Amino acid sequence: MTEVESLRPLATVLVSAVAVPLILALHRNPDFREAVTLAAATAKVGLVGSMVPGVLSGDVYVSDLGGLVEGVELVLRADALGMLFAALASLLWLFTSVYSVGYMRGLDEPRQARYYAAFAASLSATMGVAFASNLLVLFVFYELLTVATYPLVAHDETGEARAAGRKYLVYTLGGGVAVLFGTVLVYSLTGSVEFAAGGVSGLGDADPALARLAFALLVGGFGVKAGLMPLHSWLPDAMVAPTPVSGLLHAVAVVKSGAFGVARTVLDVYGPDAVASLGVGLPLAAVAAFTFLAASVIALRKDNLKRRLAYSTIAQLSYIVLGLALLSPAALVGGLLHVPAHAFMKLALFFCAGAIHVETHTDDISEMAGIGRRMPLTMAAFAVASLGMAGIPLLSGFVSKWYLLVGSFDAGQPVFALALAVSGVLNVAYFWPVVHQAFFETQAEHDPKPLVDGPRGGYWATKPDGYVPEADGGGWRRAGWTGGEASWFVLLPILLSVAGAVVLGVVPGEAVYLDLVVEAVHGVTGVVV
Amino acid sequence: MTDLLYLLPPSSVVLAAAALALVLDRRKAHAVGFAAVAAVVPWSLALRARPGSYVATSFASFDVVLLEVDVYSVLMAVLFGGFGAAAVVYSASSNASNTQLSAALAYVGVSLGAVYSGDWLSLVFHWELMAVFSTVLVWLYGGKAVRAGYRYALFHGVGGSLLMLAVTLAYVDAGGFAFDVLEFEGIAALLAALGIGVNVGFVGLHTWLPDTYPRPHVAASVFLCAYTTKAGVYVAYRAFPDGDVALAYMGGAMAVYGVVFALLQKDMRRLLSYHIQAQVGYMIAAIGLGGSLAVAGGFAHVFNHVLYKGLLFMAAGVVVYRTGENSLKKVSGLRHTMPVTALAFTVAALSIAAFPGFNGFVSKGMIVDAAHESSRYVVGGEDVLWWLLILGGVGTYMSFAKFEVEAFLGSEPSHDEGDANRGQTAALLGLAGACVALGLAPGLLFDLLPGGWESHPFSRGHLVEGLGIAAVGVAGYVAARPLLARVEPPREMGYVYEVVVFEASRALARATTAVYAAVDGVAVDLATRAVEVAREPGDAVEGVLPSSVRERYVERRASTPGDTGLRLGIGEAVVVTSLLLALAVILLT
Repeated sequence: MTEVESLRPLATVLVSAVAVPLILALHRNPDFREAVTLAAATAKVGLVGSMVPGVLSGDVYVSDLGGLVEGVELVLRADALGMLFAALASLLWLFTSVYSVGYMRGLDEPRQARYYAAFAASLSATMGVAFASNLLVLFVFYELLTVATYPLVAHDETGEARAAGRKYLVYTLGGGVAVLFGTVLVYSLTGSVEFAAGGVSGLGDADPALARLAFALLVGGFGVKAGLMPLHSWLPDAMVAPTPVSGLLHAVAVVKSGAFGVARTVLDVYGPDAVASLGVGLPLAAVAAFTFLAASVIALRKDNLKRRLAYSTIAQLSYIVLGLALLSPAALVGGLLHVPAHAFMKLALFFCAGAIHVETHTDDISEMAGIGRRMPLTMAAFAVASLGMAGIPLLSGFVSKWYLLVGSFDAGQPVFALALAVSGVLNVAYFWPVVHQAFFETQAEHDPKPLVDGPRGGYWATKPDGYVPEADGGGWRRAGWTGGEASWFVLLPILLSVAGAVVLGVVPGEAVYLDLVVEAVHGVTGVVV
Repeated sequence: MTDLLYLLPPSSVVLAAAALALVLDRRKAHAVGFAAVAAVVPWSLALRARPGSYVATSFASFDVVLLEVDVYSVLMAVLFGGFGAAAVVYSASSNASNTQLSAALAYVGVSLGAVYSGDWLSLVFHWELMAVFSTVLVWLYGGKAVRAGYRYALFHGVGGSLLMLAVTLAYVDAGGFAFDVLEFEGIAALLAALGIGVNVGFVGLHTWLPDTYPRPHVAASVFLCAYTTKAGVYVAYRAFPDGDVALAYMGGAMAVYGVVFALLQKDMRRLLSYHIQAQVGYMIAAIGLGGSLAVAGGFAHVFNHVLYKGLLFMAAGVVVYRTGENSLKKVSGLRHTMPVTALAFTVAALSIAAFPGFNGFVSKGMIVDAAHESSRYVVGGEDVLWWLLILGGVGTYMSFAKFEVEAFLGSEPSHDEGDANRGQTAALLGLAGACVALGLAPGLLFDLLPGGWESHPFSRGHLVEGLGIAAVGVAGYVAARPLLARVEPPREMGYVYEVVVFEASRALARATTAVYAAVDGVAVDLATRAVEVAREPGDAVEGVLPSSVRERYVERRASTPGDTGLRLGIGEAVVVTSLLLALAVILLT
C-alpha cells in the first residue's frame, strides 16, 4: 500500500460545497441552478472515478490539512472502503439530481433553491464521512450530514414535516453524542483515533470493560443512522420528505453513513480480532438479525408505500451490520457488498414510488391495484427491484446474500443464515403483492395486504373455483407504453438504477464495487475472498 | 463447427426467444419459440459426443460451469426441449398471449439452464429463476390465479432458501460448488432434501401443486406440469447420487397420498395435479433406492411421465378450452363430440396407469423391480415400499377410470363445441404417438439412459403384474363408484397452512407493531417531558414533590426571586459550596 499525496479527496468533498452558494445565488434562474447541481455531481463522479484504478491497485490518496485538535490531524484518505462509499454515493447523486429535476418541477414544489443547496451540502458531508481518516473527522462530517439534511426532511414545512425533522435531529444528534463519547474513550485508551486496517494498536490490550463500552457507544451512535432497532423510528417518519431525499439520503447516503461508521469501527478501529476477543460481535449480530426480522414483519402491515420501503430499508441495512458483526471474510464481503447492492435496488424502488406520486398523487398501496396498466415501465422497474430485495438471482441482492450465507456458516453461526433465509421469504411476502396487484388485479378486486388483512385467504378465497374476474374492475387505465408515465427526467434515473442492480447481479465481478470490497477486506483480514 | 455447440448453453437461445416473443407478433413469436425449443433436442444429442464441463466462467469470486454435458443433463435437456416444442404448438393454438408465451419460454429456458448447470451455485441460480418465471406464468391469468400464485411464490421462496442454505453450508466444508466436490451430509442433507422436497411435492410440502396448477391458462398448465417437479427429481439425483432410504419411503408415501386425494377430486386439472405428486413419488422412490436399475428407471419415468402428463393436461385443457368447464361433474359423453381429445386422453391414461404396451408400463416396471430387491421392512414377502408403489398403481387405475367414465364415456354428450383445433390436435397426437412408440419400443429410450442394468419389460412376470393391477384397479373403481359420487373433495394440509400462516403472521405483525408503537411512544414522551422540565423547571419540581413538602416549596417559590425557588441566599450559598468542596477533597484524596 502506498500513500499518494493528492488534493483529489479534498476536491471531491469541496466540489459540491462550492456549488451551495452558487445554487442559492441562482435561485431566480432554475435552469442554471440545476445546471450547477448537475455539473457538481458530474465533477464529483469524475473525481471519484479518477481515483478508483489507483485505489484498486493498492494506493491510498491523502489530503493532509494539518492539525484539527491536539494529537488529531484533519486528513482525508481515500482508501478502498472509503472509495466504496464515495463511488456509490457520488454516482447515485448524479442519478438523483436528474430525478429531482423531474420530481420537484413535476410537483411544482416551493423552496427549490434551498432544496438543491441542502442536497449539495449533504453530499459534501457524505464524501467527508467516506474519506475521514480518523474517528474525530468522521464524527465532524457525520454531524454535518445530520444538519445538512434537516432542511430536506422538514422541506414541506407542515407540522408533520417539522415534527419529523425534530425527531430526526433528536435521534441522530443523540447518536452523535454517543459517537463523540466513544471517540474520546478510544483516545484515552490508546492515544490515537486514526483508522488503521485491522484496528488501532493497543485497543485489544486495553481494559476490556472500557473497550466494550467504547464499542457500544460507537456502534450505538452509528447504529441510529443505520436504523438498528430500537433506534430506528426516526426513519419511517422522515419519509415525509420529498421522495428524492427519501431515496438518496434515507436509503443511501445518510443511513449508510451509519452503516459505514459501524464498518470503520469494526474494521479499522477495533479490527476483527479485537471485536472477536472482546465478544461484542455476537450481540451486535443478534441485534441486526432481530432488526431485519422485526422490520420485515412490520412492513407487512404498512399501507403507505414509502413507509413500507422505509421498513425494508431498516431491514436491509441490518444485513450490512450483520455481515460486519460476523467477522468471517465472506461475511464481511457480503455485508460491504450489500452497501451498493441495496443502494441501487432501493433507490429504484423509491424513485418508482416518487414517479407514482408525481403522476397520480397516490401514496397508498391499497390504491395502486392495476396501476401497472397506467405506468408499465415504472411498475416493471419496481417489480425487478423488489425481486432483488428478496435475493433473487440476476440482481445484486442475490450476490451479497450468497456471501452472507457462506459467511454465516464460515463463522460457525448457522442461526444467522437461517434468519437471512426467513428474511428472504418475508421480502417476497411484503413486496410481491405490490407487484401482482399492480399488474394482475383491479381496484374492485384486489388484496393489498394478503398475509395480515382478512378475510382469511384474501379476497379471492370468497369466490368459487373458476370465478372469472370482472373485465373492468375500475381503477387505472391503460395509457400505452409511456403514455401514463412520468417525464423522462423521472423515468431515466429509474431505469438506470435498475440497470445498475442488474449489472451488479449478472456480472458482479466486472463492476468495480466487488473489487473495492475484496480489496478492503483483504487489507483488514489478509484474505482474498 | 461442432465446437460452436459447446460455446453457449442451449438455454441461452430459448431465453433469447423469450425476449423476442415480447416484441414479435403472436404468430412469429410462437414460430421463433418453437424453433428455439425444438433446436435444443438435436443440439443436446450432438453434445453427447464430448461429455465434460464447458462454459466455465466465474460469478463474483466463485467458479461456475454453465454447460455440464453428461448422460443425465442431456437426457433432461432432450426431454425439456422436445416436450417444450409440443407445448409451444399447443400454446399457439390455445389463444395464449405473447406475454404468456414469453414467460413460458423463459421458464423453459431457465429449466434448461438448471439441468445444464455444472455446479450448485449455477443450479441454485436457475432454480430460483424457475420459481420466478413460473409464478409470473400463473399470475398472468389473473383472478383466483393471482392469490394462488402468491402462495406458490411463498412456498418456492421457502424451498429455494432451504436449498441455498444446504448448498452454502456444504460449501464451507467442501470449498467448491462442483457436483463432484460438494457433498450433502448431516444437516445439509436434511436441508437439501426439504428444499428439493418443496419442488417435487413431498407429502406435507405438496400443497402448492393442486392449489396452483388447476388455476392458470390451460396452455400455462401444460408448461407448468412438466418442468418444476421434474427438475426437482433431477436435482434430487445430483444431491443424493447414491440414494437415501428416507427419500425412497417418502417417494412411496407420495405415490399413495397423491393417488388417494386425486381420486376424490372433481376439478379435472386438480385431479391431474395430485397425480403429479403420486407419479413423482415413483421417481423419488427410485432416486432414494439408488443403484443403476433404480436410477435408470427413475429417469426413464421422468421422461415418460412428462410425455403422458403433458398429454393429460393438454387433453383436459382442450375440454376446458371448448366447454369452459373445469369440473368433471359438468361434462360427460365427450367422446361423441371430441373424439380426438378422447383418444389422446385414453392413450395418456393407459400410459400413466402403466398398461402393457404404453410407456409408463416400462419405466414403472423398472422402479417396482428395484423396490422388489429392497428388503428393509418386509411385510408379506415384499418390502413396504413395493406395496406402496403397487397400491399407488391400483389407485391410478381407479382415478383414471373415473375421469374416463365421467368425462368421455357417457352416452349423451354434455357439450358440442367441437374438438381440438388443428394445432392442438397436432400436439395431442404427437405426444400420444410418443407414448405408444416408447411403450412398444422402449429401446429407443434405453439408449439415452445411464447404463449398467438390464430389464425385460415384456417378460411374463411383468405382463402378469401389469394386467393384474389393471384388473384390480378397474374392479376397485366399479366397487367404489357409488361412494365416490357422494364424497366432496376434502380440505387437506393446504387449508391448515392457510389458516396457520395467516393467523400467525397477522398476530405477529400486530404484536410487533404495537410493541414498537409503545416503545416509540415512551421515547417521544420522555423527550417531551425533558423539554418541559428544561422550560419550566419549577412546575416540574412541584409535580414530583410529596404533598407535605410541596406547600413549603410553593411558598418558597413565590417568595424567592427567579421562578424555580431554588436561588440561594449568600449564607446558604457559602454553606453548600463549602460542603461540596469538602466532599470533592475527600473523594480525590
